[in-house]
Amino acid sequence: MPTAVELFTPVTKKVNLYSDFRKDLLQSPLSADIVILKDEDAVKDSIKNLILTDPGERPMQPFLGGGIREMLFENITPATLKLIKDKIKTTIELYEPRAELIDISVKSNIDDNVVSVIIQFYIINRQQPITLDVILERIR
Amino acid sequence: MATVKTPITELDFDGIKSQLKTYLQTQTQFKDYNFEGSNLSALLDVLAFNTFNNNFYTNMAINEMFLDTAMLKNSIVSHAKELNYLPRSRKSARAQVIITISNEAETAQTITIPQYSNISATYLGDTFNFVTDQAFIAKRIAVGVYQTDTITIYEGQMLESFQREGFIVDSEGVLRVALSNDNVDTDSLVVFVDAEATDNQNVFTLARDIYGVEPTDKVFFIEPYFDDRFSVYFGNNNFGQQPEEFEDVRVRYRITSGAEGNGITNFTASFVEGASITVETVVASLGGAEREGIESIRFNAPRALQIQERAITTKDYEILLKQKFPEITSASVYGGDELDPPQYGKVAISVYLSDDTTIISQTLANSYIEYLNDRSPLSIEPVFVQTEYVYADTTIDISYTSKLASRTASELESLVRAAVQTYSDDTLEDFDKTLRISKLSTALDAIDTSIQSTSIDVKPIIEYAPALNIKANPRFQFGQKLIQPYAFNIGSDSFTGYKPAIKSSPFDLNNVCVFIQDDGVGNIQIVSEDTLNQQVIKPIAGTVDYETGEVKLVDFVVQKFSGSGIKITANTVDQDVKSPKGRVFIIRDTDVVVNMNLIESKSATINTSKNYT
Repeated sequence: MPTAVELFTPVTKKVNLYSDFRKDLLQSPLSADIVILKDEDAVKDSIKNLILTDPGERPMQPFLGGGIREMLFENITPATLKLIKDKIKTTIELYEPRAELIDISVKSNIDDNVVSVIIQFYIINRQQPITLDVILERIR
Repeated sequence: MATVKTPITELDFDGIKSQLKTYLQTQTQFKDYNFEGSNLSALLDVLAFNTFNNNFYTNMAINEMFLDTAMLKNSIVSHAKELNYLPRSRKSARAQVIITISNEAETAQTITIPQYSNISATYLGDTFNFVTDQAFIAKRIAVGVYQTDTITIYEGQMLESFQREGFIVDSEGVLRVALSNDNVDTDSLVVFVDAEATDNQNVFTLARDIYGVEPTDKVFFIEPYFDDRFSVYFGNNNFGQQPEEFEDVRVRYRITSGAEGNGITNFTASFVEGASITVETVVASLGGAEREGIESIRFNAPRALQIQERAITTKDYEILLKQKFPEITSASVYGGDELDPPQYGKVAISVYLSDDTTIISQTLANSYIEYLNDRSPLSIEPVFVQTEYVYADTTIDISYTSKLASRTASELESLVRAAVQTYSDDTLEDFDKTLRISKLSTALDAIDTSIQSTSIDVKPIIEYAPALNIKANPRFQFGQKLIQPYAFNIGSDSFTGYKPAIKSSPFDLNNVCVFIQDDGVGNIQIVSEDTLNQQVIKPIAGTVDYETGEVKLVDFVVQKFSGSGIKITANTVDQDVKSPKGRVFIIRDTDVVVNMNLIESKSATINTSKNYT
């Protein structure tokens, strides 16, 4: 049985501030509708999109994007990693106003030929820090 | 949501994307449209870009569909083609020369100068080639010396095409020959059909329209092709003979440097072996022109359709002349009844080329009249009237301050003179022009901040160059009301302070230096120039009409005059001076007097306060 307090306290429906669709337009097996990314997932996907976009890739927006793909063909040195970190930081600060950066960690994994990026950030007006892992690797 | 109207007014990318965002604001499912990293934003970019592309192409396509809005020359030329207008190709400059051939070994009575003989010229560091467009005969004038009459030579080089690559046979079997060179002067085109390379037989000639063209006539037509090139086509056995599909069609034409070939006076030639050739220039090369530009085609094509190659109104004559002869800057055409004496059934034509060519040669005038003869009504005869000019006796007082003067008085004067010439070049130098004092004054005020004010006084000058010692009855029309002075009374101080409406520069009559002036009651008198004992030599030498500005001289004889003619100056009521009918208005630097007045420092203070009353 619900208590009296529970009976008279209005139930608040969670309102999603941010919503987006997946870029592969994945269909929900239950509703047959496309899957919606909400709040934290939407922002994470947005940041991932931004840093993996090269400037000039998006039509009529020549400066949008992190442009780190070109860095993957450089020699992996501390300077290169620092450059990648700076580019990611600048991109997020410029194009993702919902994220407040805490830290960016860029590490190289020479054996696997990948660069691992860990981005920690807050979503504005949310208290939980969020961590986003992105693996950068050459596709050829 | 369905009731919300999505604005569709924007055409650029940002505007379209903004409109899509406005639409998405009306739903709650996808909210990330404002964040550039979102997948939704990427989709919006693609949609907006696609819409922008469609807008651009639609806009371009619709613009190019109309003569008024088309931007591409090929489109404009295509529209002009619909109006039966042939845009002007490059035109060869043409010069008139007399060729003298000296060859002591030659004994014949004549020497033939072959068609397409080359004559070289160097001008401003560039080398040009001129050619004869037909064969000329040089007649023997002394032993071993042969001379032509005045002949016309054309700038350019003759090219002959033997290629069949440019030939196009469309689905209707119409044969076209695309000319491979875009520097062609289309006036020089000659077409040979099924003739040997060295054979000048079976010549097809250019037809400008289909009137009177029979199915068997050997004619060809020209039309613009694309990229400033032209193509030749035939009458499909309806309006001219059509070559068979595999007949060899050759085209001969001249390629030219256009306007660069104008103004050349020095020519050399060596087309006769063993002879010395002298080329004497009668008229320097002129008439060379670039291809017709976009705006010119846009303006002329509809008008060419209106006049249909026929000269009926005065405007028709002007348009036809300017189309055919690119050297003509402007033309004045009026009825022969306005000539003095009136010549009924004729139309008078004057043209203005440039201030370098003030006298039009007889040969040039003949070419204009010959061209118009075929296009004017049967009962109307075009006659050429040598272009006349009106000049401006201009006195300019410039007040300038030393405080703001970064230039010396002489530097300022040079700038003022240059500004006056620029005004003359840009605003006058045409028929039916008016010198507006305020406009000229504004131009002079803007020269330098040190110029505080300008005062300009302009009087029209008509120059008269009479045959010496021959009685004449010349008439001059100023076409403006004159300031009638008080009646002139002969007395001891009668010349002092007298301001005549008409006054001339000095000239000699019976060994006395004299000038003419009006007497305030409508007569022209001849007065001696002697300042100590000035007297009226002939009280009535003609009349002046103060209302119309017409001056008539009777039995006027001149013994001698200096310069290019006697300057007759009028004192007009209106400060703005209008060019009389059929005269071109020019301000010559020699007629301009500039007085530089330095304002003392005390009065040179600039008052920057403003009154808001």
